[in-house]
Amino acid sequence: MKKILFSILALLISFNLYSQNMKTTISGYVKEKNSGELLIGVNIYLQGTQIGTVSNTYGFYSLTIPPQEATVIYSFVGYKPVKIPFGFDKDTVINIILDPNIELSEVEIYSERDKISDKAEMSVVSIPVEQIRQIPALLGEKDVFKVLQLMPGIRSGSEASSGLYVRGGGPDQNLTILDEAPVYNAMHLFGFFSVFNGDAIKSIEMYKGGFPARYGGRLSSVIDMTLKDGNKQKFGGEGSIGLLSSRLLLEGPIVKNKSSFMISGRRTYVDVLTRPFMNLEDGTAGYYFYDLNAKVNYEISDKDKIYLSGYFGRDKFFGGYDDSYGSEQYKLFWENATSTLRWNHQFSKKLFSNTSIIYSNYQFVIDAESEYQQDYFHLRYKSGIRDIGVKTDFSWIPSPDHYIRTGFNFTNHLFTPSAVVLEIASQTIEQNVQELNSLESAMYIEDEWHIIPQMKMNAGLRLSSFTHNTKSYFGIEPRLLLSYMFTDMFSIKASYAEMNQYVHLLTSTGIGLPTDLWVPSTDRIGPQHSRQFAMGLAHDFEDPSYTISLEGYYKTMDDIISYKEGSSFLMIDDPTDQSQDFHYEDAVTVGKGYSYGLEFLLQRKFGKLTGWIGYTLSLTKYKFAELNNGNEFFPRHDRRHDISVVAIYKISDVITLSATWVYGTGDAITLANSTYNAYTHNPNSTNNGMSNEYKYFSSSYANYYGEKNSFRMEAYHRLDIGAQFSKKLKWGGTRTIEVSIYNAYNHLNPFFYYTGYDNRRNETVLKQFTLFPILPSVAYYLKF
Amino acid sequence: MKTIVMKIRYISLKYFMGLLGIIIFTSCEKTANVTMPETDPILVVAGFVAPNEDTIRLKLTWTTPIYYHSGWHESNYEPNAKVVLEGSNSSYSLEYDTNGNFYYTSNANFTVNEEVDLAITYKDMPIVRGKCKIPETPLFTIENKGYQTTNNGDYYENYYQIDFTSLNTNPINYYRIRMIGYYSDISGYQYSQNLWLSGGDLFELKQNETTSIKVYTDKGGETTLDSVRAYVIHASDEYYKYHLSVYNYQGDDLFVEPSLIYDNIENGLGNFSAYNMVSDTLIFK
Repeated sequence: MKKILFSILALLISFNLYSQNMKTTISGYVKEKNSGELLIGVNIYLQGTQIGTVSNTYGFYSLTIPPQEATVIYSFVGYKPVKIPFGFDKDTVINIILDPNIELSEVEIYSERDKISDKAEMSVVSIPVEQIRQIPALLGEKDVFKVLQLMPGIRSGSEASSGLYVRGGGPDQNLTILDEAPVYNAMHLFGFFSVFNGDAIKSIEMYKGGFPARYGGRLSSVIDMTLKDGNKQKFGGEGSIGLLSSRLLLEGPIVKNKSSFMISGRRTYVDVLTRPFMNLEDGTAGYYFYDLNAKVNYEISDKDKIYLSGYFGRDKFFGGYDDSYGSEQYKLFWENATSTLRWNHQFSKKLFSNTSIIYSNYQFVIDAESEYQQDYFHLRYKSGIRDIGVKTDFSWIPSPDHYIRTGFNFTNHLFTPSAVVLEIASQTIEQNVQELNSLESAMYIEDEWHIIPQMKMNAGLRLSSFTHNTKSYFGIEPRLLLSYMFTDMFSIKASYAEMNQYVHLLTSTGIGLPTDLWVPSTDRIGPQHSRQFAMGLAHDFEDPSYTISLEGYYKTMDDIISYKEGSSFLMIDDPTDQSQDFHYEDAVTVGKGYSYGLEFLLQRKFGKLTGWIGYTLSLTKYKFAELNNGNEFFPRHDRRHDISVVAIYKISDVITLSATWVYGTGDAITLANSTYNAYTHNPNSTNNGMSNEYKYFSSSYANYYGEKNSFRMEAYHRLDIGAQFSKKLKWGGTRTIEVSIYNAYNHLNPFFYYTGYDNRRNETVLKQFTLFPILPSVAYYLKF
Repeated sequence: MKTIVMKIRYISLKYFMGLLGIIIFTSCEKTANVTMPETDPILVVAGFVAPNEDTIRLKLTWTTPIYYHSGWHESNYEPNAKVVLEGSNSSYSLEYDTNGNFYYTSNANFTVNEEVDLAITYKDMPIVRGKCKIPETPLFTIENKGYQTTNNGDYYENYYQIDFTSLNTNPINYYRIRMIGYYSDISGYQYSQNLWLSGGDLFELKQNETTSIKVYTDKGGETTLDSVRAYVIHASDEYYKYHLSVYNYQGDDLFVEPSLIYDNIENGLGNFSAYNMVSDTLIFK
């Protein structure tokens, strides 16, 4: 009996091994025709089956196929699909070139695997970069973040702000990475524009929930952006001239088909335009910003590639005068610098790795210098954060049913809450630099598992840690996503994710000032923590090609921080007092919050008319023991209803029309409605001449606000329209003129309120400032 | 040094406001199109009770609505309410003093740890209530650690370093300290002045915790203090929170979180709290 069982077992094992050995693996890279850009997220699958994979961030794919007659299809949005009949009996490398010049009908463009219902992901926002250029924008400045704000679940902070509030979370709870380097202050000009130049961006993917284990460090979202690599085949570029700034991008091969570069810059000329208005007597003042993206890459071999990319950007105010009596020069600037060196290595057909060395530096500087007769004075104040990190990720695709990712990273954070150098008469009087060092690390593993043909799961675990001085924190972050397809076009999804955030942003009033301060978790202020559960339905339609999704979420946030009442960055300790260490903990308080909502999205990505309609119904509440007398309150960014309608209509190859309409419930603010005398106890005084009333009580006027954030601003709504006129030039380039109108029907949305007096009515009234009335703009784009 | 630092910090505000000014100049202003909620006036209480003082005073005023109101803030005293303080064994009905514009009684006799209830009745409004508990006698040590003079370049900083140690038995104790300095001139005439404590006069200390206080005087150089009389209040937590919130109140500052003044009054605003005060003298010369 034992011999029979042993024989059967041996037979089964050998049959299994035989079957495994019969499978073949195809792998390789997917690139774009004409430029050689590696394409991210390309679908590779067997026609008529659920067996498939996608290309990773570096354009690499691997697909193990069981023995059968089939056709392998490579498809990507906006590109002509490639079909290869399957007949390989051994592992094969297939590098694919996809052609973006499509003339197919809408139905043919829309492939089986471009469906939202089919993807093992949810709460993801993926916007084609080309669409960003077509959506009308403030003063013609195309902005990645402004477009993200048009998606359900994501809202802006205030009029014209580029800050992102995702599912009830604050702007500090978003991890923004550009080629894997974190960008700490992603705003130009108080948040009017983000620092990301859309011309240089290849792909943008934003996670609002259902976070895969490879992401961590922030509670509410991850915005993962990849820069273009640069055209490996020919030189080219594009530029634009707008009302506020001009841009230029240049790219081309260094070694044809092996190495390329991309460089893109942008600078505003606000300082030039406003100089006539800002000319002070014997002096001058102004403002400008610039940013620069650069990248080079080199294919060492078929298995090894290296990339070096960087971002540099600065905003600067300046002013001063110089006359016969003396001179004064003031500079106030903030800047980001990031750099990433990456090495891709392909170990085998199924195993791919990337190792990155990452640098990111943000600083805010005030520099004041004056000379008057013989007196010389110079003061420099700086605050900021600098990261140096190393990161390694492995992708292992052992079979079509499993896509396993694992990796680890270490980041040294150097926080500089304040650094002051004071010179008087060329002597350094004070030099006080406070630096706080911390180490953040994480390791993770996740598996995208195709359980049965209708069901996919992405399960993962992330372990994180943070050490500051002698205090250490550890976090266990489970991640789970399930997707079940009822039909080819309809699926239900659910996810659960826990996130830890060890780095905090101290921000006042949500205006998005560069004085916002990044600080570490300490022994007094611990990490923030969130748990998010989401569930949704997704349905695709083929003809015409629409996608509908409905998603609900519930998120809790613990140990979130806020300034105490009456505190701001101006109240942080005197940095020149060397007897005192920096203690931001004294100005903040810790609390918790929750947010839940329903998000609806109807989207069309193909055809003459594209765009989307998004609606979010949500509620967010916070509770802090030291705020609002310990009662729950709405944070400023709580928005009950949020609607966005985006439409892009391509009349022809020459003319494209676009329109955007947004509506949102007003911000929740704290507004005084009464005044009163706040009398305090006056125990013993030497002022014996006081009247009876003031001998025992001191008095000060105070405002009565009622509950914190109990007043709703007027609802915000706005219509933007635009038209683009393109023309192919004789020498091969393409020029586009865009005319757009921001706030086309001139609705005066309140930026902030204040108390004023109406002389006509002879009474105190609430007044508002509107930042931007109707604003037309024109821009000129050139591509060559 | 602090003035230089504050100057630098306000440079940043200067440029923000400058740019904001440009934007505002080009933007639009109008009366807001929102319906402001009706705001009925609310009674505001300020009353502080102590065990070793027979006279207790209480202020009672009304809030003034801001919007749809033609006048600026008025001190709206309310002289016609019925104000009653009730302890465990006693009850006092307060009279109104028109000179001082407060309610008072001269017969109070509350004791340590006694709970005192406040009830204010006015016409047919809901009764305004407050509650507090008389704290223990302050127990502490106070020690003069020496006179310091710091040369900051363009001015001298003179202060006394005084260590204050909490000896009360609660896990957390709240104190308020006032100091009066006495000095004499060359003719022997004695003067007094209120002294300023760095960081304010409110303290939250654990049992046996010591805090170092810088006590400032403008008498530098050759003239120093002869003695300091410290008035130490052991406060209830309502007293401490209220006075701290008034101290931290910033009003309408664009860059600061609106601060709500603490209140522990039911159906009203303000503060009804208790304290226990003693004094101690430090001889310096």
